[in-house]
Amino acid sequence: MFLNAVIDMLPAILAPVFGIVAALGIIILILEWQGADPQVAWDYVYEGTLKTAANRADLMAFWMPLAITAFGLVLTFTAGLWNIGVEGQLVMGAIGGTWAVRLFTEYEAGKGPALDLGLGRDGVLILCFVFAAAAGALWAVVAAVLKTRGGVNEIFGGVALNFIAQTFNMYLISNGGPWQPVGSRATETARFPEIARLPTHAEFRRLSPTTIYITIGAFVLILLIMYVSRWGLQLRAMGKNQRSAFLLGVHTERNIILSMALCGSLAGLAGAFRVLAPDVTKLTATPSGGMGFLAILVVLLASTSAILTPFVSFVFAVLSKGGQRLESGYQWDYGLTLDRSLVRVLQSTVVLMVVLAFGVRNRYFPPRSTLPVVDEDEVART
Amino acid sequence: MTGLESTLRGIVRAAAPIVIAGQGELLTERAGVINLSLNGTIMLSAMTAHAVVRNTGSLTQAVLAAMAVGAAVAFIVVFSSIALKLNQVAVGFILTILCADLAIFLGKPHFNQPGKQVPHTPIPILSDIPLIGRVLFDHNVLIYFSLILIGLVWFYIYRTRPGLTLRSIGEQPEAAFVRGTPVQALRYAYTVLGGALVGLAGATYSLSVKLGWKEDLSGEGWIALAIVIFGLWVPGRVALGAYLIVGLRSVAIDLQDNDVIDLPAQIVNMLPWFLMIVTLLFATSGVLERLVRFTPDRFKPTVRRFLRAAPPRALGTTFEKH
Repeated sequence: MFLNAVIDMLPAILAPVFGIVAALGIIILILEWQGADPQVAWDYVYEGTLKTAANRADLMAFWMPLAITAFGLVLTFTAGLWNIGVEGQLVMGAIGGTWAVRLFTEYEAGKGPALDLGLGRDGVLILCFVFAAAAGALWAVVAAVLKTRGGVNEIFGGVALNFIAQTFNMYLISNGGPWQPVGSRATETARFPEIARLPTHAEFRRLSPTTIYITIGAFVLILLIMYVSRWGLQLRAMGKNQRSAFLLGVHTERNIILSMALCGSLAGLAGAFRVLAPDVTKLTATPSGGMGFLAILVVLLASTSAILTPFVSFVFAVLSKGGQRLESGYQWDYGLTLDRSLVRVLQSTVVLMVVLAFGVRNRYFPPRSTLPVVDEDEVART
Repeated sequence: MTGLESTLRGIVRAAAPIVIAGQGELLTERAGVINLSLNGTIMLSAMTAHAVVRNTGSLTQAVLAAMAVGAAVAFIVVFSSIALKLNQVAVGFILTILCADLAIFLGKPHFNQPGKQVPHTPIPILSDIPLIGRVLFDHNVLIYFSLILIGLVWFYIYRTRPGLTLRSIGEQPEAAFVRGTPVQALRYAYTVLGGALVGLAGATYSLSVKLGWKEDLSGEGWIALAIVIFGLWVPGRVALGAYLIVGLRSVAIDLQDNDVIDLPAQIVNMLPWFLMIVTLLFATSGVLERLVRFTPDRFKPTVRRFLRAAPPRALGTTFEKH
């Protein structure tokens, strides 16, 4: 009995294992082909991310925005929506947060705040997060309304809005754009004033506990929505079959807009984390740097499971941060030019292989529950 | 050459890859499969063509290699959809990211390196025709192919028996199957063929339109995907969409040099994406159908026929034999 249960479970456990092994095999082949010793690759990644406390602090600073973006995507994927626009929502969040800093602090020395509310640091930072979340949500709602009212597929609406957000960001900070400091040629804003900087943790100048608290809060919220609330159940129903969910009385249009808005606001917060990060504190040319797309890969790999998302995003954060060390390590120790985009290749290969492995499992080793149930009494009677 | 002539000639040239990729994706979608990997596939095949031509010097091999890359990626999409019953959109999205990253990683040694160009071959007598001569007949083989392909695909889909079968497996796969059509095999064939054309589009970039490999092709594949919807799965209209988008892009670039209207460059760069949203809105929201009501009675049937089209009914679904 017990053995049977284990044998039934095997394909479910083995599928991702096979997928990950296959992906690692492909990467090892690529490394061998480039003349690099695959064994030291992991050492470099470990050195670059987990070895010292400072490394781990940097890793956290990357993990938090990635995780919070992925939490939002769990909602939209559950509802059957492909929120590819999350990348643009993240950029808009970064812009929104920067706008709040420009409005409520003494941004240029000598000129008071544009809107003087007499705020202290907490007030400024809270407004900064609120503006970022609102900007991200707004961008998501545009994609959602285009879908529900205009019939524009959220994938294409999202892709276009991504490019518009990125171009808008470049407009603000390059070629004498309104947010580029006068006389500067760098494509970024000036650094934020002291009052708009996140408190840092102990001696780690790049890690702020605030982002960790917000991310944990978002995680709890998503868990409540997905596993406790009625709304989460409605989203699941929509994901399975939107038409029958609608016929059963689910407000599908409202839920599409709401889940997109919530996802967008979480992505917006991630954008704020990126610009407010204690070692950044400015709006740069690439506030997202592909983090939104990476979060989509995370959620695909986690099969839209809210509980798995933090772990998968952690692994992806390790790989992303380890890429820099991987590139410089091979360069210095072996004189090999190995671009850091290799880790991105690894990330998407893992997702592809695991998804394919699940396909193979469902096709050739179907779980019992999906096999047609034969009612033996019924057969006997006829 | 007059200004208008050279502008139009530039549009025909710059739109060629999107036209080819659009026709390829159209064939795929007409068979009922969505290949969402275009953006990455175009980047990877463009890089491949450039790398092959740098290593072998052979343009033919470069084009064939690029087409093989496109076909291989398309095969993964259709295999995972038909054999493994996976979501086409999910696999396509993962592949578009994977191929773009792979192109950047493998293309590093070839980045910004001089490559080879497909030779310019004006067609002797035709290119001397006033106005259209220079616009249509003063290019290279790849650009000519993009023009011929539009007619070819149209003729194939609407005027041949295999084309009829192609439409049937995208609309009513069950009915086609009952009539003895090998639905799954044809879906494999058309997806791989469409992928090969997407690969050719990539080669057209690196061997002709945007010579070499500069990692700046992100976005082109998404435009190609969008114009298939804009063109409502009809070859001529898909090509029209490509020329429209590229035309507006070139107008936007001209506007930048204009002294009267002072537009920041970045705002101009947004225009194609605004246009993409607006055209999709027009194509999918039913606004155009309402326009039919306001046309004079005499033109109503023509206008209606021009606007009437729907996505292949079985698009993105899997087909089960019973």
